Amino acid sequence: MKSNSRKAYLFIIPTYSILAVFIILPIFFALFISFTKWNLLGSMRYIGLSNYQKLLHSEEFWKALVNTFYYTFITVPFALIIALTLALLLNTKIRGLAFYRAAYFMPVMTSIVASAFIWQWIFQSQNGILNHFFGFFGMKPLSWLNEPKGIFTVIFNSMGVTIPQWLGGPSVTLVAISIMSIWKNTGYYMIIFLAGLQNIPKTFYEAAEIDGAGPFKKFFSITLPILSPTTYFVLIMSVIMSFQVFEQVAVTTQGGPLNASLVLVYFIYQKAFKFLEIGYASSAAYILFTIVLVLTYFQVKIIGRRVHY
Amino acid sequence: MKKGTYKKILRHSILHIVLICGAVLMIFPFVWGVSTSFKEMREVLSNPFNLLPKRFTLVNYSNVIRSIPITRFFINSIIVSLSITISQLLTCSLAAYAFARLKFPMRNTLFYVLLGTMMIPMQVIMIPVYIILNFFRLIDTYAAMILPFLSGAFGTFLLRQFFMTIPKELEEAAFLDGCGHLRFLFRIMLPLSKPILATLAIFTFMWSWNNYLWPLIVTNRIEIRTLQYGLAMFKEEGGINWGQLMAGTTMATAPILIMFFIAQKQFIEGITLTGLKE
Repeated sequence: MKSNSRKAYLFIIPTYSILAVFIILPIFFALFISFTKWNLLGSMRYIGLSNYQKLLHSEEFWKALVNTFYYTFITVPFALIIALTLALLLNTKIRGLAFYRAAYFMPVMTSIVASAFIWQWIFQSQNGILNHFFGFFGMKPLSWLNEPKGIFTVIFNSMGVTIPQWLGGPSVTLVAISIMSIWKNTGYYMIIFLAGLQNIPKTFYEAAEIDGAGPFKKFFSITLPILSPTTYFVLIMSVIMSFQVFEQVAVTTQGGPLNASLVLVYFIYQKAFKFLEIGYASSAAYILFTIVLVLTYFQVKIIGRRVHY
Repeated sequence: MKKGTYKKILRHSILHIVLICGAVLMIFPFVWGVSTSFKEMREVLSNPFNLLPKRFTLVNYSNVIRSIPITRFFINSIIVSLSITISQLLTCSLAAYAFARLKFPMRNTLFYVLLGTMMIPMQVIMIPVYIILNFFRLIDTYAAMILPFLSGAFGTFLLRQFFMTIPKELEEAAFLDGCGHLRFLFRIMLPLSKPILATLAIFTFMWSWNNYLWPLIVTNRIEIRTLQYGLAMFKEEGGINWGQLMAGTTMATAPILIMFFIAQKQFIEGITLTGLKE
């Protein structure tokens, strides 16, 4: 038994050394750095909570936070509803399942850099496909990736109505980036939903049919409740993922125009690696960590509940 | 009876129409991107909406190869992705075996730590990891891109779940024959786990191939940049030449898409397994 446990430790040492050096140590280190002022080259100076105070008073940080929330509120519901709908449609013994699954999954496989390029081309203000398409309906071209105005402002303006600025909503640019992300992630969620759907025993539906339940009744009283753990899982995961959005912004807009598409991770990246405000950036990173931690807590709670279920 | 079949055909036709529309929306950006990469500059500007190029040309591809060291980027991506994948297969198998089959003090605590690290996004710890690598003077080396990912909690977890499903009786028989744990793992366990190993390999490879954030942070020299970073850099130099950009994008994406079509089943299984973790 004793030699067994020594062997076990030898088996896990490679993995745990990597985790210790590159994940566990850094997460504590990051907290420590967030209390300091440091530019990576000079000496580190302990400044307590000043970085956090500075963040709270930084308009740019709030902008980044609000944008990240906007991004989450746009991408998550749309991606989830589309993914669930597609999964339901595919779960009907339809022919060509493999083809559809592959088609919907293709964007997931593509790197964000590559997809961002393709979408940038679609979103071009002149010669862009999307504007061309909108042109058919007599709509004016939008500079999708260079428009700081809120989406609602633009929509109402086109109808000749002016609305107050605070009702403007997320900038057109942020909406464009969100559309790109929805396109990219939907296939992934769809596969998970499909797996969840296929786990529902057929007998449930047969029993419901005998009781004379229609398709809607079946959906709301069988599919949705049994699928709920999967739905929660996808929901929490997609929210966590959307808080980490970076590449789309880095490749297309670099947070612009006028910070209209500045998101949290891009803010951190910019402060740390462009302006070398390491301590300040770390405090923003820790706020991101706290948000993810809270979300994870809910996830664990839900998974815990599921085990009893 | 007959009425029922008609209804079914009608229903399926509507379903197919909806699904095809969706599929077109998903695939169309690729198709258009690829078609643009084969168009001459003039046509890209004057007639961007033609699906098929009027005059088919490879000039964009040869321009990309001439203007950026794309072969170098390719090799770099392969070096980085392959090292990470091979290492993960090995380290994750070992750790997963220990958690699935061996009893040792603190096993549960250590397992929770493992699961906990899965929740920490790279974006949160990128600064300290950069500092650690900088401390060891590893910034701007292949090591900086590879080291942090030599093992992973996700891979360990995935393999452990699979190892748990392999019957214990197999092990008892092997140990009666005097087979040690390491040999048992490599001779019996891993060959039985080929599908899940393939899944892990594909996922790890795809992830590191597509990774942009990390190479962006830890490399400066052009010679060691990976394909994604190289591609992003390509855009910044001079105005956007869509034909060339799409040629580069096509080249960078093709390997992963080909891999996907060959190993589609493993992909789907991998996602299904992680999505339904119990």
